[in-house]
Amino acid sequence: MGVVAVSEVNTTTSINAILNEVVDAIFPWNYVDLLKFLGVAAAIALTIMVALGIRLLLRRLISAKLPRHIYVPIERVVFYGIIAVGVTAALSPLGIDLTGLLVAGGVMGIVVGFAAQTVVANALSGIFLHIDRPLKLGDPVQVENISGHVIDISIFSTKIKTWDGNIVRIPNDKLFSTLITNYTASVARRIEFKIGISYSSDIGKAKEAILRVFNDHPLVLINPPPDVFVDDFGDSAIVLAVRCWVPAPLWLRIRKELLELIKKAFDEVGVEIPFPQLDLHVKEGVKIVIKREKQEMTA
Amino acid sequence: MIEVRVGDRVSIGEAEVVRDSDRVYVKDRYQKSSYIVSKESEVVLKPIPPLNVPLRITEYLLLQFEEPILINKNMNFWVRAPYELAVLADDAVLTYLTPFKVKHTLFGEIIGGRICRYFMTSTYFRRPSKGLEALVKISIRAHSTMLIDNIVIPLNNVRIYVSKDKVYYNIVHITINRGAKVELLPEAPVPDTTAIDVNLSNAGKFYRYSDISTLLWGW
Repeated sequence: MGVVAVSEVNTTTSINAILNEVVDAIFPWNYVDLLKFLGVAAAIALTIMVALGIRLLLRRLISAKLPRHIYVPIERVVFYGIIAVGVTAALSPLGIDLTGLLVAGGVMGIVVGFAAQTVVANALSGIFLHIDRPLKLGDPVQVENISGHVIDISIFSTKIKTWDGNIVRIPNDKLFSTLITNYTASVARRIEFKIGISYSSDIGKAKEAILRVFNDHPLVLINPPPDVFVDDFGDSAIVLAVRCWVPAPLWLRIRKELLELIKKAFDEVGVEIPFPQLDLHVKEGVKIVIKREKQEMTA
Repeated sequence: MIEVRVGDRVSIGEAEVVRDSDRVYVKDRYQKSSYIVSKESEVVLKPIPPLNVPLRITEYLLLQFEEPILINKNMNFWVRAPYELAVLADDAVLTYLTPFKVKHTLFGEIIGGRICRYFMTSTYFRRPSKGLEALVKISIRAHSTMLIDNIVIPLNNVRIYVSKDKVYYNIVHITINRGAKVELLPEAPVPDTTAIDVNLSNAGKFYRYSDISTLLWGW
Protein backbone atom coordinates (compact mmCIF):
# COMPACT_ATOMS: atom_id res chain seq x y z
CA MET A 1 0.00 0.00 0.00
CA GLY A 2 2.84 2.28 1.04
CA VAL A 3 4.80 1.71 -2.17
CA VAL A 4 1.73 2.15 -4.20
CA ALA A 5 0.96 5.46 -2.47
CA VAL A 6 4.45 6.84 -3.12
CA SER A 7 4.23 5.80 -6.72
CA GLU A 8 0.83 7.58 -7.14
CA VAL A 9 2.27 10.73 -5.62
CA ASN A 10 5.26 10.68 -7.95
CA THR A 11 3.02 10.12 -10.93
CA THR A 12 0.73 13.00 -9.95
CA THR A 13 3.72 15.30 -9.37
CA SER A 14 5.23 14.50 -12.71
CA ILE A 15 1.90 15.05 -14.49
CA ASN A 16 1.57 18.38 -12.75
CA ALA A 17 5.09 19.30 -13.75
CA ILE A 18 4.42 18.40 -17.37
CA LEU A 19 1.18 20.34 -17.41
CA ASN A 20 2.93 23.33 -15.87
CA GLU A 21 5.60 23.17 -18.55
CA VAL A 22 2.99 22.95 -21.26
CA VAL A 23 1.03 25.89 -19.81
CA ASP A 24 4.24 27.88 -19.36
CA ALA A 25 5.15 27.13 -22.96
CA ILE A 26 1.77 28.30 -24.23
CA PHE A 27 1.27 31.23 -21.79
CA PRO A 28 4.73 32.39 -20.72
CA TRP A 29 3.23 34.80 -18.11
CA ASN A 30 2.29 34.47 -14.53
CA TYR A 31 -0.93 35.73 -12.97
CA VAL A 32 0.62 39.06 -12.15
CA ASP A 33 1.59 39.58 -15.76
CA LEU A 34 -1.87 38.55 -16.85
CA LEU A 35 -3.40 41.10 -14.52
CA LYS A 36 -1.05 43.72 -15.93
CA PHE A 37 -2.22 42.87 -19.44
CA LEU A 38 -5.82 43.11 -18.42
CA GLY A 39 -5.14 46.45 -16.71
CA VAL A 40 -3.42 47.80 -19.83
CA ALA A 41 -6.27 46.64 -22.04
CA ALA A 42 -8.79 48.24 -19.70
CA ALA A 43 -6.80 51.49 -19.62
CA ILE A 44 -6.61 51.59 -23.42
CA ALA A 45 -10.32 50.88 -23.67
CA LEU A 46 -10.99 53.63 -21.14
CA THR A 47 -8.77 56.03 -23.10
CA ILE A 48 -10.71 55.31 -26.29
CA MET A 49 -14.00 55.80 -24.49
CA VAL A 50 -12.84 59.11 -23.02
CA ALA A 51 -11.61 60.24 -26.45
CA LEU A 52 -14.94 59.28 -28.03
CA GLY A 53 -16.81 61.08 -25.24
CA ILE A 54 -14.77 64.25 -25.69
CA ARG A 55 -15.27 64.06 -29.45
CA LEU A 56 -19.02 63.81 -28.93
CA LEU A 57 -18.90 66.77 -26.54
CA LEU A 58 -16.93 68.82 -29.06
CA ARG A 59 -19.41 67.99 -31.78
CA ARG A 60 -22.31 69.09 -29.64
CA LEU A 61 -20.70 72.23 -28.26
CA ILE A 62 -18.62 73.78 -31.02
CA SER A 63 -19.10 71.97 -34.31
CA ALA A 64 -22.13 74.13 -35.15
CA LYS A 65 -20.21 77.31 -34.36
CA LEU A 66 -17.22 76.57 -36.57
CA PRO A 67 -16.96 75.98 -40.29
CA ARG A 68 -16.31 72.36 -41.17
CA HIS A 69 -12.83 72.99 -42.54
CA ILE A 70 -11.79 74.42 -39.19
CA TYR A 71 -13.68 72.06 -36.92
CA VAL A 72 -12.53 68.75 -38.44
CA PRO A 73 -8.75 69.30 -37.85
CA ILE A 74 -9.44 70.41 -34.28
CA GLU A 75 -11.50 67.30 -33.62
CA ARG A 76 -8.81 65.04 -35.05
CA VAL A 77 -5.99 66.67 -33.07
CA VAL A 78 -7.94 66.37 -29.82
CA PHE A 79 -9.14 62.80 -30.48
CA TYR A 80 -5.81 61.34 -31.54
CA GLY A 81 -3.90 63.40 -28.94
CA ILE A 82 -5.95 61.88 -26.12
CA ILE A 83 -5.48 58.38 -27.53
CA ALA A 84 -1.72 58.86 -27.94
CA VAL A 85 -1.25 60.13 -24.40
CA GLY A 86 -3.59 57.50 -22.94
CA VAL A 87 -1.99 54.57 -24.78
CA THR A 88 1.49 55.77 -23.83
CA ALA A 89 0.53 55.95 -20.18
CA ALA A 90 -1.29 52.60 -20.33
CA LEU A 91 1.69 50.73 -21.77
CA SER A 92 4.15 51.76 -19.06
CA PRO A 93 3.24 48.87 -16.60
CA LEU A 94 4.39 46.40 -19.25
CA GLY A 95 7.84 47.87 -19.24
CA ILE A 96 7.37 49.51 -22.59
CA ASP A 97 9.05 52.77 -21.81
CA LEU A 98 7.98 55.57 -24.12
CA THR A 99 9.52 58.26 -21.94
CA GLY A 100 12.31 58.75 -24.44
CA LEU A 101 9.81 59.12 -27.21
CA LEU A 102 7.80 61.59 -25.14
CA VAL A 103 10.91 63.60 -24.27
CA ALA A 104 11.94 63.65 -27.90
CA GLY A 105 8.42 64.63 -28.83
CA GLY A 106 8.43 67.32 -26.19
CA VAL A 107 11.71 68.77 -27.39
CA MET A 108 10.46 68.57 -30.95
CA GLY A 109 7.27 70.26 -29.83
CA ILE A 110 9.19 73.12 -28.24
CA VAL A 111 11.30 73.58 -31.37
CA VAL A 112 8.25 73.48 -33.63
CA GLY A 113 6.31 75.64 -31.18
CA PHE A 114 8.94 78.38 -31.31
CA ALA A 115 9.15 78.12 -35.07
CA ALA A 116 5.39 78.08 -35.54
CA GLN A 117 4.47 80.45 -32.72
CA THR A 118 2.80 82.94 -35.02
CA VAL A 119 1.04 80.24 -36.99
CA VAL A 120 -0.37 78.68 -33.84
CA ALA A 121 -1.37 82.08 -32.46
CA ASN A 122 -3.16 82.86 -35.72
CA ALA A 123 -4.89 79.48 -35.75
CA LEU A 124 -6.06 79.82 -32.14
CA SER A 125 -7.24 83.37 -32.78
CA GLY A 126 -9.06 82.12 -35.87
CA ILE A 127 -10.88 79.54 -33.78
CA PHE A 128 -11.84 82.13 -31.18
CA LEU A 129 -12.96 84.52 -33.92
CA HIS A 130 -15.27 81.83 -35.24
CA ILE A 131 -16.69 81.24 -31.78
CA ASP A 132 -16.93 84.92 -30.80
CA ARG A 133 -18.08 86.06 -34.27
CA PRO A 134 -17.30 89.78 -34.05
CA LEU A 135 -17.62 89.88 -37.84
CA LYS A 136 -19.24 87.79 -40.55
CA LEU A 137 -18.73 87.41 -44.27
CA GLY A 138 -20.05 90.47 -46.07
CA ASP A 139 -20.08 92.73 -43.01
CA PRO A 140 -18.87 96.29 -43.55
CA VAL A 141 -16.21 96.76 -40.88
CA GLN A 142 -13.33 98.91 -39.76
CA VAL A 143 -10.28 97.17 -38.32
CA GLU A 144 -7.85 99.78 -37.06
CA ASN A 145 -7.57 102.08 -40.07
CA ILE A 146 -8.75 99.56 -42.66
CA SER A 147 -12.38 99.80 -43.75
CA GLY A 148 -14.26 97.57 -46.13
CA HIS A 149 -16.28 94.40 -46.50
CA VAL A 150 -15.19 91.07 -45.01
CA ILE A 151 -14.73 88.66 -47.89
CA ASP A 152 -13.01 85.71 -46.21
CA ILE A 153 -12.39 84.40 -42.69
CA SER A 154 -9.99 81.46 -42.68
CA ILE A 155 -8.22 79.72 -39.83
CA PHE A 156 -5.09 81.91 -40.16
CA SER A 157 -6.25 85.21 -41.59
CA THR A 158 -9.18 87.41 -42.50
CA LYS A 159 -9.46 89.23 -45.79
CA ILE A 160 -11.12 92.60 -46.17
CA LYS A 161 -11.98 94.21 -49.47
CA THR A 162 -11.49 97.92 -48.88
CA TRP A 163 -13.94 100.49 -50.22
CA ASP A 164 -11.53 101.29 -53.04
CA GLY A 165 -11.26 97.65 -54.08
CA ASN A 166 -7.99 96.48 -52.52
CA ILE A 167 -7.80 93.17 -50.70
CA VAL A 168 -6.17 93.44 -47.27
CA ARG A 169 -5.14 90.26 -45.43
CA ILE A 170 -5.09 90.63 -41.66
CA PRO A 171 -3.53 87.84 -39.55
CA ASN A 172 -6.09 86.52 -37.10
CA ASP A 173 -3.96 87.10 -33.99
CA LYS A 174 -3.74 90.78 -34.89
CA LEU A 175 -7.44 90.93 -35.65
CA PHE A 176 -8.31 89.23 -32.39
CA SER A 177 -6.43 91.77 -30.29
CA THR A 178 -7.46 94.92 -32.14
CA LEU A 179 -10.50 97.18 -32.15
CA ILE A 180 -13.15 96.08 -34.63
CA THR A 181 -16.04 98.31 -35.63
CA ASN A 182 -18.83 96.33 -37.25
CA TYR A 183 -21.20 98.67 -39.03
CA THR A 184 -24.05 96.19 -39.42
CA ALA A 185 -24.13 94.53 -36.03
CA SER A 186 -27.00 96.87 -35.24
CA VAL A 187 -30.08 97.16 -37.41
CA ALA A 188 -30.09 100.96 -37.26
CA ARG A 189 -27.28 103.48 -37.30
CA ARG A 190 -27.18 107.18 -36.52
CA ILE A 191 -26.24 109.82 -39.05
CA GLU A 192 -24.79 112.96 -37.51
CA PHE A 193 -23.48 116.07 -39.12
CA LYS A 194 -22.96 119.69 -38.22
CA ILE A 195 -24.24 122.47 -40.40
CA GLY A 196 -23.28 126.13 -40.00
CA ILE A 197 -25.89 128.75 -40.84
CA SER A 198 -25.23 132.48 -40.95
CA TYR A 199 -26.02 134.63 -37.91
CA SER A 200 -28.57 136.49 -39.98
CA SER A 201 -30.51 133.32 -40.82
CA ASP A 202 -33.61 132.21 -38.94
CA ILE A 203 -32.74 129.23 -36.74
CA GLY A 204 -36.37 128.13 -36.60
CA LYS A 205 -36.66 128.09 -40.38
CA ALA A 206 -33.44 126.13 -40.68
CA LYS A 207 -34.58 123.52 -38.15
CA GLU A 208 -37.97 123.22 -39.84
CA ALA A 209 -36.35 122.75 -43.24
CA ILE A 210 -34.07 119.98 -41.93
CA LEU A 211 -36.90 118.19 -40.13
CA ARG A 212 -39.03 118.41 -43.27
CA VAL A 213 -36.25 116.74 -45.26
CA PHE A 214 -36.09 113.97 -42.64
CA ASN A 215 -39.87 113.59 -42.66
CA ASP A 216 -40.00 113.32 -46.45
CA HIS A 217 -37.15 110.83 -46.74
CA PRO A 218 -38.60 107.29 -46.72
CA LEU A 219 -35.60 105.71 -45.04
CA VAL A 220 -35.06 108.14 -42.16
CA LEU A 221 -36.59 106.32 -39.23
CA ILE A 222 -39.56 107.66 -37.29
CA ASN A 223 -38.24 106.00 -34.16
CA PRO A 224 -35.64 106.78 -32.78
CA PRO A 225 -36.75 110.30 -33.67
CA PRO A 226 -34.49 112.72 -35.52
CA ASP A 227 -33.05 115.68 -33.65
CA VAL A 228 -31.81 119.14 -34.65
CA PHE A 229 -30.38 121.63 -32.17
CA VAL A 230 -27.98 124.55 -31.89
CA ASP A 231 -24.66 123.02 -31.00
CA ASP A 232 -22.32 125.99 -31.01
CA PHE A 233 -21.91 129.64 -31.83
CA GLY A 234 -18.94 129.47 -34.15
CA ASP A 235 -16.69 132.21 -35.50
CA SER A 236 -18.63 132.52 -38.72
CA ALA A 237 -21.79 130.52 -38.19
CA ILE A 238 -24.40 129.19 -35.82
CA VAL A 239 -23.62 125.49 -35.78
CA LEU A 240 -26.59 123.14 -35.88
CA ALA A 241 -26.13 119.52 -34.84
CA VAL A 242 -28.31 117.25 -36.96
CA ARG A 243 -29.01 113.65 -36.02
CA CYS A 244 -31.23 110.94 -37.40
CA TRP A 245 -31.34 107.14 -37.49
CA VAL A 246 -31.40 105.04 -40.63
CA PRO A 247 -31.18 101.33 -41.53
CA ALA A 248 -27.52 100.42 -40.95
CA PRO A 249 -26.74 98.93 -44.38
CA LEU A 250 -27.94 102.11 -46.12
CA TRP A 251 -26.11 104.58 -43.88
CA LEU A 252 -23.69 106.03 -46.42
CA ARG A 253 -26.20 106.25 -49.24
CA ILE A 254 -28.77 108.06 -47.10
CA ARG A 255 -26.16 110.39 -45.62
CA LYS A 256 -25.13 111.52 -49.10
CA GLU A 257 -28.75 112.07 -50.12
CA LEU A 258 -29.60 114.02 -46.97
CA LEU A 259 -26.74 116.48 -47.33
CA GLU A 260 -27.88 117.44 -50.82
CA LEU A 261 -31.53 117.62 -49.82
CA ILE A 262 -30.76 119.86 -46.83
CA LYS A 263 -28.79 122.27 -49.03
CA LYS A 264 -31.74 122.44 -51.44
CA ALA A 265 -34.17 122.96 -48.57
CA PHE A 266 -32.01 125.80 -47.17
CA ASP A 267 -31.93 127.45 -50.58
CA GLU A 268 -35.72 127.27 -50.79
CA VAL A 269 -36.33 128.93 -47.41
CA GLY A 270 -33.45 131.38 -47.67
CA VAL A 271 -31.19 129.99 -44.99
CA GLU A 272 -27.59 130.86 -45.74
CA ILE A 273 -24.57 128.62 -45.19
CA PRO A 274 -21.86 131.27 -44.70
CA PHE A 275 -18.26 131.44 -45.81
CA PRO A 276 -15.70 131.88 -43.04
CA GLN A 277 -15.73 135.54 -41.94
CA LEU A 278 -13.27 137.70 -40.05
CA ASP A 279 -14.13 141.14 -38.70
CA LEU A 280 -11.11 143.46 -38.36
CA HIS A 281 -11.34 146.30 -35.86
CA VAL A 282 -8.58 148.91 -36.24
CA LYS A 283 -8.00 150.90 -33.06
CA GLU A 284 -6.08 153.82 -34.55
CA GLY A 285 -6.85 155.60 -37.76
CA VAL A 286 -5.11 154.16 -40.74
CA LYS A 287 -4.54 156.04 -43.92
CA ILE A 288 -5.76 154.01 -46.84
CA VAL A 289 -4.67 155.17 -50.23
CA ILE A 290 -6.91 154.20 -53.07
CA LYS A 291 -5.31 154.44 -56.45
CA ARG A 292 -7.50 154.47 -59.48
CA GLU A 293 -5.88 153.59 -62.74
CA LYS A 294 -7.28 154.75 -66.00
CA GLN A 295 -8.57 151.94 -68.03
CA GLU A 296 -7.94 152.21 -71.68
CA MET A 297 -10.99 151.59 -73.63
CA THR A 298 -10.45 149.32 -76.51
CA ALA A 299 -12.72 148.97 -79.43
CA MET B 1 -56.83 94.84 -60.75
CA ILE B 2 -56.88 97.74 -63.19
CA GLU B 3 -56.17 97.41 -66.88
CA VAL B 4 -54.23 100.22 -68.56
CA ARG B 5 -55.06 100.48 -72.25
CA VAL B 6 -53.30 102.53 -74.91
CA GLY B 7 -54.10 106.20 -74.28
CA ASP B 8 -55.08 105.65 -70.61
CA ARG B 9 -53.82 107.69 -67.68
CA VAL B 10 -54.42 105.99 -64.34
CA SER B 11 -53.76 107.75 -61.03
CA ILE B 12 -54.07 106.05 -57.65
CA GLY B 13 -52.91 108.28 -54.84
CA GLU B 14 -49.40 109.38 -55.75
CA ALA B 15 -48.92 106.60 -58.32
CA GLU B 16 -49.53 107.37 -61.94
CA VAL B 17 -49.36 105.21 -65.06
CA VAL B 18 -49.68 106.60 -68.55
CA ARG B 19 -49.70 104.48 -71.68
CA ASP B 20 -49.27 105.52 -75.27
CA SER B 21 -48.91 103.39 -78.35
CA ASP B 22 -45.40 102.09 -77.60
CA ARG B 23 -44.51 103.07 -74.05
CA VAL B 24 -45.70 102.86 -70.48
CA TYR B 25 -44.72 105.80 -68.28
CA VAL B 26 -44.83 105.25 -64.51
CA LYS B 27 -44.16 107.53 -61.60
CA ASP B 28 -44.74 107.93 -57.91
CA ARG B 29 -43.16 110.02 -55.16
CA TYR B 30 -39.91 108.06 -55.35
CA GLN B 31 -39.37 107.15 -58.99
CA LYS B 32 -40.14 107.96 -62.57
CA SER B 33 -39.41 105.67 -65.49
CA SER B 34 -40.69 104.41 -68.80
CA TYR B 35 -40.84 101.03 -70.55
CA ILE B 36 -41.21 100.11 -74.17
CA VAL B 37 -44.27 97.91 -74.43
CA SER B 38 -46.04 96.99 -77.63
CA LYS B 39 -49.63 98.02 -77.98
CA GLU B 40 -50.73 94.40 -78.16
CA SER B 41 -49.47 93.73 -74.64
CA GLU B 42 -51.84 93.68 -71.72
CA VAL B 43 -50.77 96.13 -69.00
CA VAL B 44 -52.42 95.83 -65.60
CA LEU B 45 -51.95 97.19 -62.09
CA LYS B 46 -52.32 94.77 -59.21
CA PRO B 47 -52.21 95.68 -55.51
CA ILE B 48 -49.56 93.77 -53.55
CA PRO B 49 -48.13 93.99 -49.99
CA PRO B 50 -45.95 97.09 -49.47
CA LEU B 51 -42.49 95.56 -49.60
CA ASN B 52 -40.60 97.03 -52.52
CA VAL B 53 -40.71 100.82 -52.71
CA PRO B 54 -38.29 102.52 -52.49
CA LEU B 55 -36.23 99.49 -51.48
CA ARG B 56 -36.99 96.07 -50.14
CA ILE B 57 -35.42 96.40 -46.70
CA THR B 58 -37.96 94.82 -44.41
CA GLU B 59 -40.74 92.26 -44.35
CA TYR B 60 -42.63 93.81 -41.47
CA LEU B 61 -45.27 96.50 -41.32
CA LEU B 62 -45.84 98.46 -38.12
CA LEU B 63 -49.30 99.98 -37.97
CA GLN B 64 -49.25 102.83 -35.48
CA PHE B 65 -52.66 103.70 -34.06
CA GLU B 66 -53.50 107.38 -33.75
CA GLU B 67 -55.03 106.62 -30.37
CA PRO B 68 -54.13 103.71 -28.10
CA ILE B 69 -56.81 101.05 -27.69
CA LEU B 70 -57.76 99.39 -24.45
CA ILE B 71 -58.14 95.72 -25.23
CA ASN B 72 -60.59 93.96 -23.02
CA LYS B 73 -60.55 90.22 -23.59
CA ASN B 74 -61.78 90.05 -27.17
CA MET B 75 -62.03 92.83 -29.68
CA ASN B 76 -62.45 93.27 -33.42
CA PHE B 77 -61.71 96.48 -35.26
CA TRP B 78 -60.55 97.83 -38.61
CA VAL B 79 -57.42 99.79 -39.49
CA ARG B 80 -56.00 101.21 -42.69
CA ALA B 81 -52.79 99.92 -44.26
CA PRO B 82 -50.66 100.73 -47.30
CA TYR B 83 -50.19 98.60 -50.38
CA GLU B 84 -48.15 98.84 -53.55
CA LEU B 85 -49.08 98.43 -57.17
CA ALA B 86 -47.28 95.92 -59.32
CA VAL B 87 -47.21 97.13 -62.91
CA LEU B 88 -47.43 94.04 -65.10
CA ALA B 89 -47.17 93.69 -68.84
CA ASP B 90 -48.27 90.26 -70.09
CA ASP B 91 -47.76 88.92 -66.53
CA ALA B 92 -44.16 90.18 -66.31
CA VAL B 93 -43.54 92.71 -63.55
CA LEU B 94 -42.22 96.00 -64.92
CA THR B 95 -41.97 97.81 -61.62
CA TYR B 96 -43.74 98.62 -58.38
CA LEU B 97 -45.37 101.90 -57.47
CA THR B 98 -46.62 103.22 -54.18
CA PRO B 99 -49.71 105.37 -53.93
CA PHE B 100 -48.63 106.44 -50.44
CA LYS B 101 -45.80 108.20 -48.67
CA VAL B 102 -43.32 105.65 -47.32
CA LYS B 103 -41.70 105.77 -43.89
CA HIS B 104 -39.83 103.26 -41.79
CA THR B 105 -39.26 102.84 -38.09
CA LEU B 106 -37.34 100.72 -35.63
CA PHE B 107 -39.32 98.21 -33.58
CA GLY B 108 -37.40 97.07 -30.52
CA GLU B 109 -33.80 97.81 -29.71
CA ILE B 110 -31.04 99.00 -32.01
CA ILE B 111 -29.34 95.64 -31.55
CA GLY B 112 -31.78 92.80 -32.11
CA GLY B 113 -34.71 94.98 -33.13
CA ARG B 114 -36.37 95.13 -36.54
CA ILE B 115 -36.72 97.80 -39.15
CA CYS B 116 -40.40 98.00 -40.10
CA ARG B 117 -42.41 99.80 -42.72
CA TYR B 118 -44.39 102.44 -40.79
CA PHE B 119 -47.95 103.56 -41.29
CA MET B 120 -50.10 105.72 -39.04
CA THR B 121 -53.75 104.75 -39.00
CA SER B 122 -57.02 105.49 -37.29
CA THR B 123 -59.00 102.60 -35.85
CA TYR B 124 -62.63 101.90 -36.66
CA PHE B 125 -65.21 99.64 -35.12
CA ARG B 126 -67.20 99.72 -38.36
CA ARG B 127 -65.67 99.09 -41.73
CA PRO B 128 -64.88 102.49 -43.25
CA SER B 129 -66.34 103.01 -46.69
CA LYS B 130 -64.10 105.81 -47.90
CA GLY B 131 -60.36 106.11 -48.33
CA LEU B 132 -57.69 104.89 -50.68
CA GLU B 133 -55.80 102.68 -48.25
CA ALA B 134 -56.28 98.95 -47.80
CA LEU B 135 -58.51 97.85 -44.94
CA VAL B 136 -57.34 95.36 -42.35
CA LYS B 137 -59.63 93.55 -39.97
CA ILE B 138 -57.89 92.99 -36.65
CA SER B 139 -59.20 90.35 -34.32
CA ILE B 140 -57.59 90.38 -30.88
CA ARG B 141 -57.92 87.82 -28.11
CA ALA B 142 -56.26 89.04 -24.93
CA HIS B 143 -55.94 87.12 -21.68
CA SER B 144 -56.03 90.32 -19.69
CA THR B 145 -56.91 93.97 -20.15
CA MET B 146 -54.18 95.95 -21.82
CA LEU B 147 -53.44 99.05 -23.84
CA ILE B 148 -51.90 98.76 -27.29
CA ASP B 149 -50.92 101.47 -29.73
CA ASN B 150 -49.40 99.50 -32.59
CA ILE B 151 -49.21 96.10 -34.21
CA VAL B 152 -46.51 94.53 -36.35
CA ILE B 153 -47.60 92.40 -39.30
CA PRO B 154 -45.30 90.04 -41.22
CA LEU B 155 -45.93 91.15 -44.79
CA ASN B 156 -44.76 87.90 -46.34
CA ASN B 157 -47.93 86.27 -45.07
CA VAL B 158 -50.24 89.01 -46.27
CA ARG B 159 -52.64 88.18 -49.05
CA ILE B 160 -54.39 90.97 -50.86
CA TYR B 161 -58.08 90.84 -51.76
CA VAL B 162 -59.98 93.33 -53.86
CA SER B 163 -63.66 94.11 -54.11
CA LYS B 164 -65.21 96.51 -56.58
CA ASP B 165 -63.62 99.60 -55.04
CA LYS B 166 -61.59 98.53 -52.01
CA VAL B 167 -58.39 96.65 -51.21
CA TYR B 168 -58.20 94.33 -48.19
CA TYR B 169 -55.58 92.37 -46.31
CA ASN B 170 -56.51 88.95 -45.00
CA ILE B 171 -57.75 88.88 -41.41
CA VAL B 172 -55.08 89.54 -38.77
CA HIS B 173 -55.63 87.50 -35.65
CA ILE B 174 -53.63 88.46 -32.57
CA THR B 175 -53.48 86.44 -29.37
CA ILE B 176 -52.01 88.34 -26.45
CA ASN B 177 -50.90 86.26 -23.53
CA ARG B 178 -47.39 86.79 -22.22
CA GLY B 179 -46.33 87.93 -25.66
CA ALA B 180 -48.29 88.73 -28.79
CA LYS B 181 -48.77 86.09 -31.45
CA VAL B 182 -49.78 87.47 -34.84
CA GLU B 183 -51.44 85.16 -37.36
CA LEU B 184 -52.77 86.05 -40.76
CA LEU B 185 -55.79 83.91 -41.38
CA PRO B 186 -56.13 82.68 -44.96
CA GLU B 187 -59.52 84.25 -45.50
CA ALA B 188 -60.93 87.49 -46.82
CA PRO B 189 -62.42 89.83 -44.23
CA VAL B 190 -65.55 90.46 -46.31
CA PRO B 191 -67.47 88.43 -48.88
CA ASP B 192 -67.41 89.10 -52.63
CA THR B 193 -63.70 89.75 -52.93
CA THR B 194 -61.09 88.33 -55.26
CA ALA B 195 -57.65 87.22 -54.10
CA ILE B 196 -54.82 88.85 -56.03
CA ASP B 197 -52.10 86.51 -57.22
CA VAL B 198 -48.94 87.97 -58.66
CA ASN B 199 -46.05 85.85 -59.81
CA LEU B 200 -43.11 87.86 -58.50
CA SER B 201 -40.42 85.35 -59.42
CA ASN B 202 -39.17 87.42 -62.35
CA ALA B 203 -39.78 90.81 -60.74
CA GLY B 204 -37.16 93.44 -61.47
CA LYS B 205 -34.83 90.97 -63.16
CA PHE B 206 -32.71 92.19 -66.00
CA TYR B 207 -30.31 90.21 -68.12
CA ARG B 208 -27.03 89.78 -66.34
CA TYR B 209 -23.59 89.03 -67.74
CA SER B 210 -24.08 85.30 -67.97
CA ASP B 211 -27.24 85.81 -69.97
CA ILE B 212 -25.53 88.35 -72.21
CA SER B 213 -22.66 85.89 -72.75
CA THR B 214 -25.20 83.31 -73.79
CA LEU B 215 -26.67 85.75 -76.26
CA LEU B 216 -23.23 86.68 -77.59
CA TRP B 217 -22.39 83.02 -78.05
CA GLY B 218 -25.28 82.72 -80.43
CA TRP B 219 -24.06 85.48 -82.72
